[in-house]
Amino acid sequence: MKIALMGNPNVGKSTVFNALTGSNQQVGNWAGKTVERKSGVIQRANEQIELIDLPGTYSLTAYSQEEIVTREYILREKPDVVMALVDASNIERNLYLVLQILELAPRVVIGLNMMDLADSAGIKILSNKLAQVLNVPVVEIIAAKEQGVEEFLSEAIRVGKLKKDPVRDEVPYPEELERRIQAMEHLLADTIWATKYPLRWLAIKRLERDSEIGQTWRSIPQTSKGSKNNDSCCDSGDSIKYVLQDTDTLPGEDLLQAYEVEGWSKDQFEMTIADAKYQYISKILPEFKIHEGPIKRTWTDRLDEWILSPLWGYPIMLIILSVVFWFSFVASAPLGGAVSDGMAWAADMIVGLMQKVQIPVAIQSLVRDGIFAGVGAVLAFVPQIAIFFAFFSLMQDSGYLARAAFLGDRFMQLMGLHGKSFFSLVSGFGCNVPGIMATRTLEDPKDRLITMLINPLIPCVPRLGVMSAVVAAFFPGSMGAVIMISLLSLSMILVMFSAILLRRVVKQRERSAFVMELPLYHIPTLRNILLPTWQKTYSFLRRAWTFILVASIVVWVLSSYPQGVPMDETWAGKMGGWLAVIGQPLGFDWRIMVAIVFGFTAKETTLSTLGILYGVAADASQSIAQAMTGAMTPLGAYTFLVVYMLYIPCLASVVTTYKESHSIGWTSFGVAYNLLLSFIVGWLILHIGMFLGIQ
Amino acid sequence: MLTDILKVLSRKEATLSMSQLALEVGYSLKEIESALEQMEHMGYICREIFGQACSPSCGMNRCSGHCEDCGFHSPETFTFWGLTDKGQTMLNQVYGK
Repeated sequence: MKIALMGNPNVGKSTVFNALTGSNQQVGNWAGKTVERKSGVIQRANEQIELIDLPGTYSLTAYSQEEIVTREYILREKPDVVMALVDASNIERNLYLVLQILELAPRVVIGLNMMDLADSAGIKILSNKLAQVLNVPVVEIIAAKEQGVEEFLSEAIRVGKLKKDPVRDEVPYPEELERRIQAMEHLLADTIWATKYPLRWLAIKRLERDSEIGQTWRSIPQTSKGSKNNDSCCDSGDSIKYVLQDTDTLPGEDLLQAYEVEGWSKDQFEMTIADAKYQYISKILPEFKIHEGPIKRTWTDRLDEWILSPLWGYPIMLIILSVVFWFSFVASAPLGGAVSDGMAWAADMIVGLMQKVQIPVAIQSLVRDGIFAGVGAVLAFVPQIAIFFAFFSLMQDSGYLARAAFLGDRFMQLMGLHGKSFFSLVSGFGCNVPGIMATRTLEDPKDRLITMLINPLIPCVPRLGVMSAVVAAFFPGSMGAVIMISLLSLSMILVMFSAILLRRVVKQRERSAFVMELPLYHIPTLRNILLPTWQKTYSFLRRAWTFILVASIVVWVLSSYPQGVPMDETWAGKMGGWLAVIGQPLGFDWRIMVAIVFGFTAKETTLSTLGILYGVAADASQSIAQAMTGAMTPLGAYTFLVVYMLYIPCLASVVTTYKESHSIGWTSFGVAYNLLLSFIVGWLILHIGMFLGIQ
Repeated sequence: MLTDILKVLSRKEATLSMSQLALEVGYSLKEIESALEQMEHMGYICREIFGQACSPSCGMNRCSGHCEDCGFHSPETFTFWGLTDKGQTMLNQVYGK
C-alpha cells in the first residue's frame, strides 16, 4: 500500500513521519528539483506500507516546485490514501489545501494535529462534525507527544482497503462558474485525459489554463541498480525523475476563447474558484470550530483600542512625542554642557602643550578657535541626539512606531499624501539621504518625485541638534519642549501644504490602498535599543571628525584671514556682508547668514560655524547659543529656527535627489522651493510676531 | 472573500490595518491572514517591507520583501500588503465589466 502524507509547512508532518517510520526511512531529492523527498517503510500486521512525505505546500497550483512535485506525485503515482495533516490551531489556513486534496485524491484521511495548542488558545475543533461536513475521516493527534499517530495510520489503512471510493459533496461554486465547469467537463469527458485525471479537476485546470496539464511525463527511478522502465515507479528510497515525454494541447481552446470574450480569463477562473473555496471554508467553519469562553484579547488588542482610536490616538501620539522631545532636547541639555566643559578642558590641555613646545600661534588658534570651537560645538549635542535615537529605537522595538506611522498616514491622506510616500518620510526621520533613497521602492515615478521633494522638510537629526541647542538657550525649561513641538508641527503642516501644491504641479497616478501589518506590542529589549542607538550615534560622530572637521578648518581660515583685521573684514565677514542684504528682511546678521550658507555642506556645520564666528572659543565660559542671545531676540531666534529648519537640504541630500530623480530641473526646483518657502514663512513669522508685540 | 479584499485594496484611500480589513470584508483576522497569504501565492498581492535603503543597489525590487543586496539601513521598517499588476488587472476584469 502506498500512502502520501501531505499538509501545509510546519504542521508537524515530519514529526508524524518520523514517529511512523522510525529509522526505516530514506531521504533524497526529487531529481531535477531542489525539494527533499522522504519515504519510509512501515510494517503493520500483514501490511507493508510505503509512506511518502510530500513537501509542505499551501495549495496545489503550479506556482512553486513543492506544489508541482506534490501534485505530480498524486497524479502519476496515485497513492492508495492521502493522509492530510492539519494544524487545528490554524484550521482556516489549512483547509484550503484539504479542499484541493479532496478534489484530486479519492481516498483521504484528515489528521487534526496540535490539538493541545488549539486548546490552550481556547479553540475547540469538533472533529466528528468536521468529518461529517467533509465526509472524510478525521483523527485527533498531538504528534509532538505521539498521541493519535497510530490511530491516524490505522484509519488510513482502513480507508485504503475500502472497496469503493467514498462519495463526497463538491465545493459549491457560483452558478456562472459551475455552468462553465460542466461545459468543459462535457468537452473533455470522452478524451484520453479523462482517463488520467479526475474529470472535474481536469475541467477546472483546463479553465485555469494550467500549464502542467497536457504534459505526459515518464517517471524514471534513480537507483543504483539501474533505471527501470515501467510506469509504476520506484522502490522506497529511490529518487524519482520525471522526464517530459510529450506535450499535447487539450481540447477546449475555442470554448476558452469564447469565455475570455465574456470576461472569464484564466485569472478570473482561478480567482473565482479560490474565492469560492474560502467562502465555503468560512461557511462551514462555525459547524466545527468553537471558542470556549470569551475570545482571549491580547494586550495588543487592548492597547490598540486606545492607540489606534481616531479620538484618542492623536492626543496620545502628541503626548508621547512631547515626552520624547522633552527628554531628548530639554532635560538632557545639561549633558551637552558637560561635553562642552570636557571639550574646553581638552582644548586647554592641548593648547597648553602646544605653547610649551612653541607651536606657532596661528596653529594654536586653528586648534582652539577652529577645530575645538567648531567640532566641539557639534559634539556638545551628541548626548541629546543619542537619547533621541534611543527613544526612537524604543518606539520601534515596542511596536509603537508602526502605529505612530499608521496614524500619521491616515492624517496625511487627507492631503493626498499617503501610503508608502508617508512611510518614506518616516523612514527618513534622522537623515534625509536614506529617506530619499527609500523612495526608490515607490513604483510610481511621480509619487517618488513628490516624496523626494518634500523629504527635506522633515528635520533631520543634525538639524534637530542645532535647533535644540538654540532652543535651550532662548527658551529654557518646559518652554523649550513647547517650542520644539511647535516647530515640528509647523514642519508637518508645511509637508502637507507642499504635498497639496506639488500634486497640482506633478500629476500623480492614482494609487491603491495598502494593508499594513502592525507588529504585536512587546517589551523592548536593551539590545534592540542600544545597538541601533550606538550605530546611529557613531555614524553621527564619524561625520564630526571627518566632514565637520574639514568644514571647521575652512571656516576658521575664512574668518581669520586676512590677519589683523576685525572679524567682519575677514573673507568670511566680506562674504557675510554680501549675504546680509538677503538676511536683513529676516533680521539675520552676517554671521547667521554665513552659518546658514555653510550649513548647506552639512547641517551641523551651521553650529560649528556660529561657534567660530561668534568667537566662542573652546575655553570660553559661554556656549554658542548663549553668545547668540546677545545678538538676537527670542522672536529672532524662533525665526532663525524656522528658516534653518526649512531651507535647502544639505549637499548630500541634493546630490541624492539628483541621483534618484535623474533631473537637474527637478533637483533645482526642489532647492529653490525650499529656499523660497523658508524665506516666506520666516518673514511671515517675524512680522506677525512683531505686529503682535512679541519680542 | 478574495475579490472583496482586492476591492478594498483597489480603493484610493488610506492605509488599513489588518483588523480594519477584516472588519471591512466581514471575516475573522485569521481568515484574512490565510486569504492574504494565498493571494500572495497566486500573485495578486505582495508583501513589501519598506525601510531605509542603505546603498544605491538596494531596494530595487518590489515584493522582494527586503533590500536584496544589503538589508535595511535601520531597524525601522514597515510591512505592507499591496496590489500587484496582476491583481490590478484582475480587478479591472472583475469590476470593469
